[in-house]
Amino acid sequence: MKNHRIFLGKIGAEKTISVYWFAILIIVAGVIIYMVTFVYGKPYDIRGSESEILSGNIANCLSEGGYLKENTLTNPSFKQNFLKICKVNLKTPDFPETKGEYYIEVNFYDFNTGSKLNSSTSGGNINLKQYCGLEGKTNPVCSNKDFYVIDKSQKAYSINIISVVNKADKNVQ
Amino acid sequence: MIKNKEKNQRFFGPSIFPKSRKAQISEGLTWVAATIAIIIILLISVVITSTAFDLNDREIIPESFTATLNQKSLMSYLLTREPGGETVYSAIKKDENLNDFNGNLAVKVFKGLYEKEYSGIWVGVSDLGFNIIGGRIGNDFFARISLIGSEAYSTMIKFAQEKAVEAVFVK
Repeated sequence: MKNHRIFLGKIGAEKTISVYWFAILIIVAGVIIYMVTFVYGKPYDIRGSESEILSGNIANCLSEGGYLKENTLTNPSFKQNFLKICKVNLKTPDFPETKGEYYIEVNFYDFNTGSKLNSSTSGGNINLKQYCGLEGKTNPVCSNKDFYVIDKSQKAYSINIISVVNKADKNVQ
Repeated sequence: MIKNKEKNQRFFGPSIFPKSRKAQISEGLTWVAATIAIIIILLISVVITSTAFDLNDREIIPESFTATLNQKSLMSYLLTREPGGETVYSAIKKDENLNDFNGNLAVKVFKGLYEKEYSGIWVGVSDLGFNIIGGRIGNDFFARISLIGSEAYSTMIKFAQEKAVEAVFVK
């Protein structure tokens, strides 16, 4: 009777160890899954970078080699078609229900007098601009940048580029 | 009737000597200690992960992209002609420092446009042969700024082998 009990005890111990290893495996896997979800579960907010890249692309479109591109201010079609001329596509097929997730505004100022020129233009969803300066993670992200530029005739301008990116659903949770 | 020892030998193969109760307790304690160690290590990992990754601050700060516009401003500034007809670049190259006209223009351009965005701005001539701090030649228009422990961005255009016009922006 005693011998029989020892025999069953050994088998039982092996079974217990198997269950133990299985439990440890589940705990380790669970912790790994938790940590990965913790780190990568929420999206990174890249709207700030996106708005900066937009501003940079617009600036590159307006100025080349330190000079304002010719006909930028004199060509009347630039004001209407600046997005097309600058090869900027503000369409957002991922957000079909909105009026647009981007807004870009370009303001030209006479550098010496500070007066705003008529050539100032904009494109995209103008409703997004009202959120600039407001705090809140789900609000659109604004980038307000200025740079100095001269034209070939040495007239100096300051150009202000405001770019706004909404896309809160895909960047903030 | 088969003896217990023989039975064990047949069933467990290489384990010729069955473990005594004392050995079994000792082995059990080892498992308990190992389990506790594993759980502690896992808990430490979870705590480190939770503190190292702040989920409330998952914004990628755009640093490198803003540089484009500052570089453009510096380029246009250097191409601006002085009343004498020469460019700011040529005047700085000749004088190896800022003069009245281009110094005041630099203040108007860089402080005027970027003062809100940066806590410190310096524009002037840098001697690239020196170290970073000693290389910035002082001028009457921009006070020296300390870059130690600060987040700064610098853009420069060389005009001689070891001389450059530099604009420094401190966050």
